[in-house]
Amino acid sequence: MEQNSLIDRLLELTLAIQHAAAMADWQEAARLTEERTPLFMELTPEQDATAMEVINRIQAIDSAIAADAKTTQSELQVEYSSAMKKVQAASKYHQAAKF
Amino acid sequence: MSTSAWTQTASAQDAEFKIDGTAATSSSNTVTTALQGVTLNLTAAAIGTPAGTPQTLTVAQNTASASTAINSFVTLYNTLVTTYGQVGNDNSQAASTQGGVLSSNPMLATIQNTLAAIVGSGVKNGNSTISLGALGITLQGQASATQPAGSLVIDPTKLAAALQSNPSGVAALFNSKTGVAAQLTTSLNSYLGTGGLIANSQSAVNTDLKSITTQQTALTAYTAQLTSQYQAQFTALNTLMATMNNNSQYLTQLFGGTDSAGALATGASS
Repeated sequence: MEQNSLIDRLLELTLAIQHAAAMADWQEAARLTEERTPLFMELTPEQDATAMEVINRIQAIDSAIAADAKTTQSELQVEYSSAMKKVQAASKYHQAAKF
Repeated sequence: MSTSAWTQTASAQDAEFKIDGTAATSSSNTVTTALQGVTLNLTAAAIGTPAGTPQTLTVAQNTASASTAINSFVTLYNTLVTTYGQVGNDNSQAASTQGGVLSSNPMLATIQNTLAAIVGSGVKNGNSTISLGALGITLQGQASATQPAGSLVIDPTKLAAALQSNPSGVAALFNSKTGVAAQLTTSLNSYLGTGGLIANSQSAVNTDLKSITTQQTALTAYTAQLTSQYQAQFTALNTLMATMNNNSQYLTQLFGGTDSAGALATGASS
């Protein structure tokens, strides 16, 4: 793929990942990220200033998404363990009701 | 009398006696036919000296079997009271603070109260009323070391006296249709029968248990769904973060980071 259109495609995918993350559709975000990875391998080291600006923008977006993902993960872990505690409480209530 | 062989000098005769002025005879000295249910042993000691002295015959009730039956009634009732204590509120002296599974069950309270009321009430005997108290059978008010509260206590002396002096009262109290035990049987049958208090209560409990089982199944399914949803999120987040981390490292190598030129870039431009 020609470098300019490769960089356009990389930005396009990055914006799509950003959107999915904003919608909390982490499965879609992960899928797009995996789809995007091989395209990075096609980048050549020599890029003009405009291309480097786009690449820097992609990197900035990525690090924001990664930070968001980390926060989300710890929040979900808290949520999940609280949900499981409630389920266990309900289950104990059921067990007690059977006596 | 000759010394060789003995000879009969007079033939044996039937015993002759009078009972309350009525003459009777018997070929045997053990007389069973003169008075029904009474055996007269006409021994020398029994008829007195000189022979023919009038004797007074006293016939008393045989109270042993009645006493045994009444004792076993009381024992069985007390077993029931002990059972109340095991399944409901402990009413023994060593009562634990924790009640049985039916301690707050209104059904048990109803049965307990109804049966206790029957035991405590009297039974009509002609114009008067006789109760277990008249036989020396009383309710244990406060639990003792051997008897839980609400159980029956027998005073054997009073019971023996009542059996002797008031057989008709005892008969009325334990009449097979209207007596205390008969009332208890009727009451218990109504509780135990189809559509009775216990059956209804059982069916309500079974409905509850079924509903709980359904709820448990639903909860298990919900838990599985919840776990799988969260797991999918965690997996996606881990994949995303790991992939982005790899991409970032690759780009740094290719183009350099904020502070350094990329190794590949340096290599390519030289």
